[in-house]
Amino acid sequence: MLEAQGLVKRFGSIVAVDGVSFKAKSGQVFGIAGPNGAGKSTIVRMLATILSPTEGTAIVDGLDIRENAESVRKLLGYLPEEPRVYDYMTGESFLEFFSDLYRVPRAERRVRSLLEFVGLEEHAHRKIGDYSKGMKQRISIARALVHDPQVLFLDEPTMGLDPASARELREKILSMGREGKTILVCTHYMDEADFLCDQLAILHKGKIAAIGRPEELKAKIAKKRILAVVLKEESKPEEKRFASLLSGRVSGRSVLVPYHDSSTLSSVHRAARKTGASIVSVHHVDPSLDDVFISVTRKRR
Amino acid sequence: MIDWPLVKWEFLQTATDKGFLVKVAFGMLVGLLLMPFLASSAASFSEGSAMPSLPFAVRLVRIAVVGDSNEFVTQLQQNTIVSLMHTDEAHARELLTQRVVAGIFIVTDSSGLFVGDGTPFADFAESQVRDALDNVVRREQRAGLEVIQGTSVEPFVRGLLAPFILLTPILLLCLPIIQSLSYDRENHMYEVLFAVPIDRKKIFFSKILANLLFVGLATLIWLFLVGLVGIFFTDVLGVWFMLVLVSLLILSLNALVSTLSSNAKNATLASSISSTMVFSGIAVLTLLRVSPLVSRFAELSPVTYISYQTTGLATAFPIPTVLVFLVITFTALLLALSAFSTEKFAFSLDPGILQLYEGVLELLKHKWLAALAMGFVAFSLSIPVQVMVLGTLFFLNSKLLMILIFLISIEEILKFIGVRMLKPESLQNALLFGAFIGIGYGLSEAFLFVPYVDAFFLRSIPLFAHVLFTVLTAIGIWLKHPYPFLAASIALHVYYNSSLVSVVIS
Ligand SMILES: Nc1ncnc2c1ncn2[C@@H]1O[C@H](COP(=O)(O)OP(=O)(O)O)[C@@H](O)[C@H]1O
Ligand SMILES: [Mg+2]
Repeated sequence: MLEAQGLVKRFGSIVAVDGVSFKAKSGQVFGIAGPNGAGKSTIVRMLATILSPTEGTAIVDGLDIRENAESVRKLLGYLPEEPRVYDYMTGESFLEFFSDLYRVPRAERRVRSLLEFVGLEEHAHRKIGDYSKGMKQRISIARALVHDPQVLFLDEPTMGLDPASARELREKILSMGREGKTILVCTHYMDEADFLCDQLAILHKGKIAAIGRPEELKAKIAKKRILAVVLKEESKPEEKRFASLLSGRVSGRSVLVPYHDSSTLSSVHRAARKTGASIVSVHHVDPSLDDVFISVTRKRR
Repeated sequence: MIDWPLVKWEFLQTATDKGFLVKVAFGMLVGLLLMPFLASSAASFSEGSAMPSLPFAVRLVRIAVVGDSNEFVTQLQQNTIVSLMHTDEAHARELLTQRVVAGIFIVTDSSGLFVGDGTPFADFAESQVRDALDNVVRREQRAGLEVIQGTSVEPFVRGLLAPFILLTPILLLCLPIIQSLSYDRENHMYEVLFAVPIDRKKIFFSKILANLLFVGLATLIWLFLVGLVGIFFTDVLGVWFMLVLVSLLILSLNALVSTLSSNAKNATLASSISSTMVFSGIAVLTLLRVSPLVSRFAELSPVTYISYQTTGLATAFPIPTVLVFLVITFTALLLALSAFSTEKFAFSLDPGILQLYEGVLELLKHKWLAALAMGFVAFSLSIPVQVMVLGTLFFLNSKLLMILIFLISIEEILKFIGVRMLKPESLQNALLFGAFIGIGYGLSEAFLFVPYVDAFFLRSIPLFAHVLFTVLTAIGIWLKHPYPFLAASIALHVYYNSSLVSVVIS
């Protein structure tokens, strides 16, 4: 269980996080999506108790992050945005070091299995300084898991990974969620959020612009669907006027037209006749999370 | 306060760093080659310790006076070379045999009797008394000048500085803390270290302790090696403790500069400056031994102690030295810790002195406590600065007033900076900050100096004087006319102290 209550963080005059509240249940993957600078990392750092909130607080498994910071830290695993590693240590000693700091008893150490989990068992005795960027990210993930935390905060976990490893990692995050861990994932890839999250908050300029299950969010704007009209090559000169008559916009080969009701279709044909453009095809476009994002953030501007 | 697993890892990190160990071994080897020099110079140090000298253009020839002042005594008082001590006859004779005074003047109805070194006790006519006195004064003065100008000073000074050879490995041994703190900062390791269930204070002190353990071990080996080439100390444990004490100070300063600089390179540079300051402070302190007026200052220097120990003298371990070093160390550690605990530190955005201020306030949520702490800080900073200035002025043979003005300006300016950092916004604030900084400063002075130091110009400056002058400064800051008020409080302070001094002398 993770509950943020009116989190605010100011850095001098910059308001990085501006009143963020949400709830994530155990066994859930909760996502925070938003462009760079939206305040995602700042939220996670506050939850991980390395930054103190200017206002508000959060409850992790019944513990207040302000009052019980040290107990909260025992529960959580935190993966920072950039891999933070000791270049002079080997992968294995790095994990042993953090197992020591977390006071993991010898018998319960998972160094070997974690190295396998992130696919680095063959590189266990190499210095981390010689690792590639992706390998550093993977040893970082293993580090966040040394004490088998119940709550995981992952800040842009797939950044810097090649597409295959990224896909593999997403699968692993899902499987850890199924084990009952509470997982918070930050990302600026909407398709990743769509794939991973049970619940998703869209963050814009430090505020939550929309929150819900990815399907719900998509369904909400699906009511305002869009028609993609493709005109013939020869009608290129008429395209602009055609679009403006329907208050649509040109995007690549198609003209995107807001769909109000069934009369929209006849308006399209009327406009074609008026401008002398000939239509190749008309079809509905299913909104992606990208569209959700654009639609919620445009409203706020 | 300590996280042992972290201490273990940090210690191993230093103890297995081959490049570093080679440097340490090389440094010790060079030190060992210089050891015979230490042995021979330390001997001239102990010989030189009995030499009188003339460090300041102030009253040097001491004459004991028995009885009430008469006209002749008043005239004598105006002689700038003579310093008078009023006492009874039995004590005066004791002082004469100990050569603390050069002569005794016993007031009688007509004029007086004079008894001096080599002058038989007799009832002289006034002119004869004057002649006898003049002779004594002239002889003492000449002896003093010979020491200052003579060639005998050189081996003496060498003797004072030789024990530094023993201290030099410390500079190397205290470097790992910079690596430890700055590496983590440069590589943003605090982003994960601060998410681990270990208090930030614990992380900080564990890193310091790991380095200190390394220093403790390495200095033991060092003393053993020094013994192999034939240098022995009366009390090896005492010397070892002294080395550790100096190391702890250097370590704390290194920690402070590391938490305030953005990378290891800057930190190392800043550390070489702060370590040089400590070493020159110790050197100047040691050199104060040349002057009988301030020679007791020299006892504060670890080098003085080491010198005695090398020459086989059984000297008591100097507790005041420990106090002075611990106060400065404690201040540096407190400042470093408060800087370390700020968010700016963890995320390394433009670190600097402001981070320190935020850190102090974060640690001490109450402003008056912060003010009290600033008073202690100002005092700790003033010691090395004042010692260096004192040393410089001493070699320039400055007038007492000049010395007073310089020393007091340092004190007042440091307290002024303290008040400024707290930014008083109301009169009430200004009064509060001024008073508490004054109290912090005055208290430290009272604890450390008054019972110990014999020098008259530092003796018994009451607490309330500090409070008064600092409040004056604070009011100036609040009125936005800081400098006239600062100047006024310096002037008042100088006036106050010089009147104290004249009371003490007469
Ligand atoms: N330590 C800091 N000091 C000042 N500003 C900061 C600091 N950390 C983040 N910010 C600012 O806060 C905003 C949010 O940053 P961040 O949380 O990193 O966003 P995201 O992770 O969504 O990219 C940005 O404008 C960033 O410049
Ligand atoms: Mg981020």
